Amino acid sequence: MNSGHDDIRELLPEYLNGLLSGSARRRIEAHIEKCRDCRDEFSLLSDLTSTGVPDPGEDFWKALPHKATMRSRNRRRRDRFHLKSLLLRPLPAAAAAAALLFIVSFAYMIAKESPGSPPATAPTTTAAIDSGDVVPPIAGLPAGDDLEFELAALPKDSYYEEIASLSAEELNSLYEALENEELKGG
Amino acid sequence: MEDDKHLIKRYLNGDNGAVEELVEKYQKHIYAFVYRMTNDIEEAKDLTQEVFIKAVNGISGFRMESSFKTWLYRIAVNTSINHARRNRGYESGIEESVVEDRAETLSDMIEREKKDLVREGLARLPERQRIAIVLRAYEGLSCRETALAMGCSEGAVKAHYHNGVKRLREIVTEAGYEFRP
Repeated sequence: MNSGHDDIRELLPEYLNGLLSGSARRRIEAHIEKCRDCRDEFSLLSDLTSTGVPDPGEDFWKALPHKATMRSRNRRRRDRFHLKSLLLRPLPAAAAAAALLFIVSFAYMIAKESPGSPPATAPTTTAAIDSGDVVPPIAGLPAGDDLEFELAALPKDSYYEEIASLSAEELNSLYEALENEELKGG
Repeated sequence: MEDDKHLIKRYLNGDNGAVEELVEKYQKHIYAFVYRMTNDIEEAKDLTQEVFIKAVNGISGFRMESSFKTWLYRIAVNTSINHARRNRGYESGIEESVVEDRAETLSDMIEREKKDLVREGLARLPERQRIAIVLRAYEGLSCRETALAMGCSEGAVKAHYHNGVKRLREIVTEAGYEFRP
């Protein structure tokens, strides 16, 4: 197929739809009269376009402009609503989750600090204590089975010796005095 | 009739009547195009409405660089392609051409059968070839307008159109029909 045929064939749809000027139209008519191949193509396009499109009816044509405009407006409103919902919905959900978390944490802390609450673990018996794990009450002293307090090894200015020499009755009196002074537990 | 771009400006300034004028101006073109893509009246009516709803929704984004008509066809092409993809596997039957209630001559009958064959052939062409033929031959869009509507180059339009027409000619000749002299 040479470029002359190509040019003509490219213009056949325009020719078919009456979109060409006089000179272009005459050129095509002269060509298809001589050229069987281009005439067949024109005939095919004529067959294609000669089949009509069923008319949906006057009511459809009359209603469509207003209907399309109204539906478009409704869809825009709906889309805006959806966008707002998408933006706003997570906020109440997050606030509710945060509030719930706060309440649960608060209740847990209250329950933990309550004196009447049961201990978290079973009470430990003395038999279960491994003396190797015992941390000596005074830094620098050895821990273990052979632990012995050597009072002489205590610092000179310490009042440990004095406390150690107190009787049970005197210790109780001291404890009560400290408790009254709200010094218990340091 | 008022210029499309002027109507769009009027609509964007709050005149809803202007967009209704635009719909009225192009509704038959768009309906004809989608009918040829679907071969079903009800689907064509629904899709035509869908095309115009999308167009009115997106009109504020129309940059007025191309013609409104081409832009509208582009929406129609995409809507038809999406519709076909959603309904893939479902072969929409070609509606029978209306047979008039009168005695038909043999040559009339042969001509009608040939036209039905061509229509069926068109419906079975690859999507892009069919769109190129419908936009060029039926809707009278130029190569450039068709390229804009299809979102491809003019060269691609020419190739789709040429291959589609070639295939249709093969279908007709293989079935033993002749073109009118």
